[in-house]
Amino acid sequence: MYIPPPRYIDFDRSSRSNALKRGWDRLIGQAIENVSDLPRVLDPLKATNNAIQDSVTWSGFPRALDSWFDVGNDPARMAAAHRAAEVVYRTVPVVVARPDRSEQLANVPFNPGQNIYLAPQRRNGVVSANDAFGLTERPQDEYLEWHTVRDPQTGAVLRIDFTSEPPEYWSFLAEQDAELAATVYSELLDEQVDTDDIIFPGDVFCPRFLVNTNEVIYLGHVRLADQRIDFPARFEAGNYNPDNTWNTKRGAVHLIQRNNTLLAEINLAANATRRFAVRPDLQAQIDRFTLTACGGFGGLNRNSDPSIGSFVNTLALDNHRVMVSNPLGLFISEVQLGGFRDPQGNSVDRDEILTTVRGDWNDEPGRARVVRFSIHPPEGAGYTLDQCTFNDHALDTGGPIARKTFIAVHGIAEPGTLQNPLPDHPIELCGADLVEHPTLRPKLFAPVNWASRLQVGVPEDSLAIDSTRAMMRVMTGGREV
Amino acid sequence: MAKALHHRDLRREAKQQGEPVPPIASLAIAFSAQALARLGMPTAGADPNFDRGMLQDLRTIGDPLGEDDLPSDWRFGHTDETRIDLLLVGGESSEPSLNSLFEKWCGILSSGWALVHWDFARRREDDKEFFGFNDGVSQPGIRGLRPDGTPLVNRPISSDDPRSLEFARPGQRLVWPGNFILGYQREVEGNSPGSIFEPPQSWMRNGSYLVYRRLNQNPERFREAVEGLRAYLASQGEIASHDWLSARLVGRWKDGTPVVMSPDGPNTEIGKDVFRNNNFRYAFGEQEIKVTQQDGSTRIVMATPGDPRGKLIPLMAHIRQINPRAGQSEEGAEQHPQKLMLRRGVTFGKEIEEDPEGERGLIFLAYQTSISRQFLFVQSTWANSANAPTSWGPDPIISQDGTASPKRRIRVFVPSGRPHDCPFNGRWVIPTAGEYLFLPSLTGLKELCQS
Repeated sequence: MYIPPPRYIDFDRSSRSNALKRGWDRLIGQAIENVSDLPRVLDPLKATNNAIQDSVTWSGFPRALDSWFDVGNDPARMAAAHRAAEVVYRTVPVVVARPDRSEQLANVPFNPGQNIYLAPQRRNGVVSANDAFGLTERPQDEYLEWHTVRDPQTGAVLRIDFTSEPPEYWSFLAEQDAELAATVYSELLDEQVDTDDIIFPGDVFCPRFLVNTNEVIYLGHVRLADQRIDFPARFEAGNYNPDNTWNTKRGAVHLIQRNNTLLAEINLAANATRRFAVRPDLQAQIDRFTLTACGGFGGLNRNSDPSIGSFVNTLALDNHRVMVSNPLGLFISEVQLGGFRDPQGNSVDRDEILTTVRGDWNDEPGRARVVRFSIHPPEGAGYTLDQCTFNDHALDTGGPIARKTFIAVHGIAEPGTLQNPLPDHPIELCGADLVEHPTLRPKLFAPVNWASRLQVGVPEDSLAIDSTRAMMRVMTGGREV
Repeated sequence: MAKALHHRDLRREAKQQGEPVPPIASLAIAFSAQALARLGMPTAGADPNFDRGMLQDLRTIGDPLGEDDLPSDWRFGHTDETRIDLLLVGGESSEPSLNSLFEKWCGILSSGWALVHWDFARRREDDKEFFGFNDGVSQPGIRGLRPDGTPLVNRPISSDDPRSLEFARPGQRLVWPGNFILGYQREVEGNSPGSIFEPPQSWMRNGSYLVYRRLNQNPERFREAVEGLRAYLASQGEIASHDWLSARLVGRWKDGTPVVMSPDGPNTEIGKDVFRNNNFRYAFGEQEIKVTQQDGSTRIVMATPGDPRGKLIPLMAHIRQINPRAGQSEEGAEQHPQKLMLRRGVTFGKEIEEDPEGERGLIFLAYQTSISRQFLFVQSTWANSANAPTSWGPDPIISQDGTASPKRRIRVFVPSGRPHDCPFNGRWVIPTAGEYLFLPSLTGLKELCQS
């Protein structure tokens, strides 16, 4: 049976415990089934005693931000990246109607004053800006997200919460047992969270605009579930709202960045088992970014996806079927806190500043499965975190700690044997378009076929190909949009 | 520097041609932050770890602390009476001349400084440290030119091979000098140089931060631990020899032969060949390389297999844990060259037969421009960690976990070809002193003396 990432610590509290366990098993089983036609994908539940376990880890601070700020060895730029990582931004899917009666969806910045907001319909049928919300993202895309808890009066940093729990788990839990989900929310945040806070009371509506050459006219709000939208949540009455205030403005209970999903991890792992033209065997001199670009299986400018992909691909090329091991999840495997200094510059025992909230650093021998921890001043200390430093960075954001927090995917791999050889592993041509390489110069290259990787010296700004960069331009305004 | 390099070349040349080797005579003098403050030298903007001193970083470094928060195993360097202000590193070709040098300097400094400790360090036969392994085989190559326009380090790889942009000798990573000396361009991602690392004070230009660690080694305890590992694996039905296992723990056979090139035993031909004994990158195979030898002739250096999964050199093996090359890590291979230091370790203490109860070990000396990004990172983020650079366990040789008896779980591909997790508990490298120091250039030293 497939086990959820925090194991059964929540399900066992529900009166519907068995139904929840079966439901989660079906959900993950279906995801594995969807990728099972790939020859080197392993169904973890069918692994034999011959299977091996191995893990890949990466640093939890977004590589995209380091790249954007060109951090290098510059502490000031690094501090800017830390601040940017906490600029939460919100967008709204908007229906754009044209005079020719065509319609399409566009994502635009949240702006209630201009009617650009989402809202659930109330029982009386009203859609009101009083209930406005947007699709929220923290720009923390390494499967680790955090929220800095501040004193509402002074802004002093009281605590920093880190999580690696996938959104699918919380959608599932909340829709199966909303009261339990609200209770766990309350416990994790030490706040009173009600079911109404996290479940849509009515269907969600989004704005519709008529866009002419010279004017934009607001036509009212329409039901979002009727639109085609690429977002891992549904928007109908009774559905879980991952954008609820307790998971966005006032806390971080689970991952919400759009790429930080469990299904993305499963798909990435599955697709990385393929034998790509640029790496037909393990001797091929190729870096993890080029492999990712060729395979088109993940985000290029991240620590996580290229690392996971390269790790899985190595096992697959070495005659194994591979998948994430059960429980499938993204896990925090280590946080190194030696760089913490109190306001006097003294180091502090990690046990005094670390609370492991969910999961176990020794879940199995050699495999940590922590999904939530908090950093705070020692009990009774007369100072707040922003007065402290971490590796000589002010601890007024969670970024410095995220750099020293390692996320892991624990994999399982079944080797082919003489008795049970694996099926053919055909070479596939690269599937990616022109992409930007994070480290090589020239920066742009196009994998065109397996025999030759064409490197193209296109000026950096000639192609707007990286949505991350566009995103960062919005963010570096330094304000919430 | 040009003079020193010239002298080194003369010694090498003489050694190769069997002629008398010119004597070596060197002296380096390095200062702690406290000493510089006492001397009134400005250090504002200096490396913050240097400013605080090594004692403040011991929780990160992993040396066990007593109840007074002082390192329990240190012999000196941790109390006011034994604080290290100056470190003199002298080199001579013979012990008597080294003693003379030592006495001379003790005399010069006796007016203001008290001798805390001195160690007679020496190169053991075949450059082997006390566990018996050839040490210091792998060193980065510094980019840059000598005054005569020739490269600072020998560049034998054929210039039409793109690897000549990345490596000096095969496998010897080229690194921008700002990684080691203040005032030069630093290493960043890719092969282009980063910005110039300006010295925080003008007198510190051309200087370097020197990390000093006095590491006692207990060869008997290490031997017993390897034997225990051998017995453990035997109980699991995996038969491996003592030497086979210890080579997996280090990544090289005792003569320096990388296990990835010779899995079944040492191969002196490879171990002694500077064009081959470093020519591996783990993540993938290395194809043949054409190099020019010192006599001007060319030769083809044979291809090397890759070892991405750690079947030959386990992912936690000492040489891989502290320098993952192009292999897997939590940071990404493009960041690895920034971590490299110039290591100049040398053994101290007598042979066991001469003094069974005496102290012996390695004086670890490493030059760099960022303590937190180099020494501290390599020791704490990688060597001590069970989850970085990979999840195969901490460094089996030098890792510390803040206790006198570290618990480790390491992973090794056993002879039957499967990865196997094994306990490997205990401590055989015991830090007994240390400090962060600043080594000024000769010009800086003159300025310091004048002040």
